Amino acid sequence: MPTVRIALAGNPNAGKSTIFNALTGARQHTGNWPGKTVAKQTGRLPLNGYDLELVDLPGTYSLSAFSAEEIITRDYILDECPDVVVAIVDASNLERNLYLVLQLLEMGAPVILALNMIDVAESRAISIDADRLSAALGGVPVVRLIGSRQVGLDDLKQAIARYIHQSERVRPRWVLPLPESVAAEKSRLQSLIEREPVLAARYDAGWLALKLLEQDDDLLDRVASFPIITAAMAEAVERISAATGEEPDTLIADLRYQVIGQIAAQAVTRGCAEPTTRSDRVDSVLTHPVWGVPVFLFLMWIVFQITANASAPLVDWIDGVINGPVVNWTQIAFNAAGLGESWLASMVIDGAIAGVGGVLVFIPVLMALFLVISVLEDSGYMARAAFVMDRFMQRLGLHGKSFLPLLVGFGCTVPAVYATRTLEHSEDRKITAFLTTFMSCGARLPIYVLFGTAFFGASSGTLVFAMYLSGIGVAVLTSLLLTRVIYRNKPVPPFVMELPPYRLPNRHTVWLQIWTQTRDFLRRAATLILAASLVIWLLLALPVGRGGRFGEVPPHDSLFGSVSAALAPALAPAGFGSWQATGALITGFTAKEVVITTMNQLYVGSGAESAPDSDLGSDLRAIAIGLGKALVLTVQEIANVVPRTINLLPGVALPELALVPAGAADEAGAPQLQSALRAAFTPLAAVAFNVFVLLYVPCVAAVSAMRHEYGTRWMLTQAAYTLAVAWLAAVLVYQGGRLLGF
Amino acid sequence: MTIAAEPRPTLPLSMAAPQQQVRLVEIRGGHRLRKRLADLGLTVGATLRVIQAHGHGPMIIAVRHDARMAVGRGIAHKLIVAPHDNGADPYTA
Repeated sequence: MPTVRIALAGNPNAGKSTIFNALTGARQHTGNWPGKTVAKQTGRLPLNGYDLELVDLPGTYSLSAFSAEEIITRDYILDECPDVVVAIVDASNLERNLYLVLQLLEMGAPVILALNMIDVAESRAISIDADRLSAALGGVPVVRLIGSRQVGLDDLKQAIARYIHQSERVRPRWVLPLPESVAAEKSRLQSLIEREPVLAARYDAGWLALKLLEQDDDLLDRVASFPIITAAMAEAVERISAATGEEPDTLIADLRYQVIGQIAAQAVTRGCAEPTTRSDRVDSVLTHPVWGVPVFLFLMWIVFQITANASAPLVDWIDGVINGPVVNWTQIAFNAAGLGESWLASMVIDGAIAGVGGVLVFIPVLMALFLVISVLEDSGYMARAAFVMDRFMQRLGLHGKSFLPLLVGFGCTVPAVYATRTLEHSEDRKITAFLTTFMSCGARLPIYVLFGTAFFGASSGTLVFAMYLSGIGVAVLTSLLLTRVIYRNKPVPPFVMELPPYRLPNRHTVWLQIWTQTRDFLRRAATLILAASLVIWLLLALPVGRGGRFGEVPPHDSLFGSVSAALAPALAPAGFGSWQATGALITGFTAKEVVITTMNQLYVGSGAESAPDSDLGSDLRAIAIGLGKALVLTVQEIANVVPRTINLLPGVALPELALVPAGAADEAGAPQLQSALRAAFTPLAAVAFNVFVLLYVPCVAAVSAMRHEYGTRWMLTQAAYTLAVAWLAAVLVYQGGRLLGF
Repeated sequence: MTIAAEPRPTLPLSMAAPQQQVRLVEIRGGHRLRKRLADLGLTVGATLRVIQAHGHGPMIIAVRHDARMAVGRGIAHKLIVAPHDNGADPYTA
C-alpha cells in the first residue's frame, strides 16, 4: 500500500487535534520531535488503497521561526516535503488564521484548506463562500468542517484523495503580490540565490529571498556562509527602508493582512450580530481582576482534589492486588516448583513485580490528571488561568500557565511533569518541569509525619508545614537562577496571548487524550522504573565480605549495605551519616514512601513474613470486591469535593459522604520504628534528613517522566542539581542549627 | 484652523476606553516585538476594540473583529491607536 504523508498545520485553538483525533482514532503514536521538547503526534488512516501517515504539526500563528514550534513546522514542510498539508483554519476567526495559510502558500506547500468550526462562525452571522475563498487563494481546495461533531470529515478525506491523484499535474502556485519597490529587490536576491547550488537545491529561491528580506533570524543563520547573499540582503533591506520609510518585515506583514482583507471582502459576509459574544460576557467575570482570582483558586483546588484524592482509591486497590494476591500466588507457584526460597523467586517478587507495581499505580493518577487538563484546555479556561496568574508568575520569570503543573506537583511529580505540556514555549516547559520536584509530593508526606511524630510529638505539623514552605522557597530561588542566569538570553515573550472562545469539551477528544497519553507513559517510562527496581533488588541480594548466599544475605552484608556504608560519610556533615539512613535514601529513589519501608527493615528488622495462605476463589472475589469498593470510593472522593470546598469557609463543617468505611491507615509507622529513630537521629539531624528527603532526586517514575519529556541530558541535570541542593541545604540546616545551639 | 485640517488624535491603546473601537496606527517597538504582534494579527491598520480594561492589569481586546487577545499594559503603551473612522459600528469596516 503506497504511503502518503499528510501534515496538519494550523493556529493553536483552531481545532487541529480534534480533527487529527477524528481522522486517526486510536491509531496514534506520540513522541518528541528529534532534539526538541515539543510533542510530536503521528497517526495512520487507510484511505482508498493508500496508507495515510498523518503528522500533527505544533500549533503556530506563523512560520516566522520565533519559537521551537514554528521552526519545527517550517523545517518539516521544507525538509520532509509532505504530500499534502491540511491547513486547519478557525472559520469564526478567519482573518487572523489566514496569515499562517498565506505563509504556507508562499512556501509552495501543497495546501488543502480546512475551514473548521463553521457552526461557530454561522452562530456569529459570519458566512464564508468556499468557492470564492478557493479562487482568491489561487485554486486551493477548501473544505468546510465541524470537527467537534465529525461533520465534513468525509469531504476532507475525499479532498485529500483527489489531491493525491492530481499530484502528477503541476499545481497552481500562489504568490504574494508585492509592491514594485519590494518585488524588484526580491527578484534581484532570488537570482543570486539561484546561483548558489546548495541553497537552490534546498529552498524555493523566491521564498528564501522574501524571507531574507523579512530578516528571518533562522534563515539568516543558514545563509551566513554566503557573504554575497548576506551583503546583497543588507543593501536591499536598507534600500527598501529608505524608499518606503518602513522596515521590509513590517511592510510584508502589513501586506499579507491587506491581501487577507481583500480576500475576506470577496469571500466573507457578515450579518448583524451582537459584537459582544457569549465568551466576552463569561470573561467579564472569569478574567475580572477581583472575581477572576477566587474563581481561579476554586478551580485549581478542584484540580488538586481530583488528581490527588480521586485517584487514591484505585491506586490503593492496584497496590493491594499486586502486594497481596499477585505476590502470594507467585510465591505459591515458586513453592510448588520447589524454588520457594530461591533467588529467582526473590528476583521476580521483590524485583520485577515490585517494579511493575510501581509503574501500574501511576495509571489512575495520570488518567485523573489528563482528564482535568484536557477539560481545562478544551473548554478554553487554561488561557484565562494563565491570564489571571500571569502577573504573579512573571515575577518568578515564569509564565502564568506554569502554575498548574506546579500545583499538581503537590500531589505527584509525575503528572506534574506531564502537565508542563500545556505551556506554549519549550523553554518555559523545561524550566517549569525542572521545578515541579520541589513541590513536595504526596509520597514524601508520610516521612515528614513519621519524623514529626517521633521527634516533635504534637507539634509535628510544624515540621510538615516547614517542609512544604522550604520546597516552595527552593523552587522560587531555582526559578530565578534558571530564568535570570542560565536562560538569561531567553527572549521574554511580550505578554500577548490569545483567549480562545469558551467551548464545551468534546467527550471523544478528552477520552482519547487520556487514553493515548497514559498509554504513552506506560510505554516510555516503564523500562526505567523496572530497571531501577531490579538494580536495588540486585544490590540487596549480592553478598559482600562475610559471605552468605546470593539472595539470602541480611542487608548489612549485601552490596547494598556496603554501597550505603561507602556513601554514608558524605552525609555525615548533615548529621545523618549512618549506613541505614543512606540506604533508606537510596531505596527512596524507587519511590519516596519506600524510605519508611527500608527504615523499618534496617532499624527494626522485617517482621516474620506470613506464609502465603490463600485460595484462588476468595482472592479473586477479594480483588473484584476491592475494585468495586475503589470505584465507589472514587465517586465518593469526587462528590466530597463539594462539602470539602464549602468547609473551607470558616465556621462551616458539612459532613462528608462516607459510602464505604475507610480503612485504618498506619503510615505514621509503628512506635518501635519511632523509638529506633529517636535513638539514631538527634532532632536537628532529623530535620536535616527531612530537608534532604524533600529536595533530593525525585523518584524514578518522575525521573523517567523527565527523560520522556525533556531528554536524558535535562533529566541528568535535574538529578545532579537536586542532589547538590539537597546536600547543601541539609548541611546548612545541621551545621547552622549546631552553631545556634540546637 | 479648521477641525477638518487637524490630524486625527492618537493615543496609546492603554488609554482607550472599554468598548472603544480603534485603528492601530503605530507600533513603538523593535523588530521582534513587531513580528510577534504581526503573527497575532496586530499590524498597523488593524481594527481593534477594547473588550476589557481594568486598572493597571492586562487588557482584553478584539483584534480584526473575531480574535480575542490579552495584552499586557506594557505592550498596550507601545500600541498607538486612533479612534476608528466608523465610530461605533464595528462591522462596516
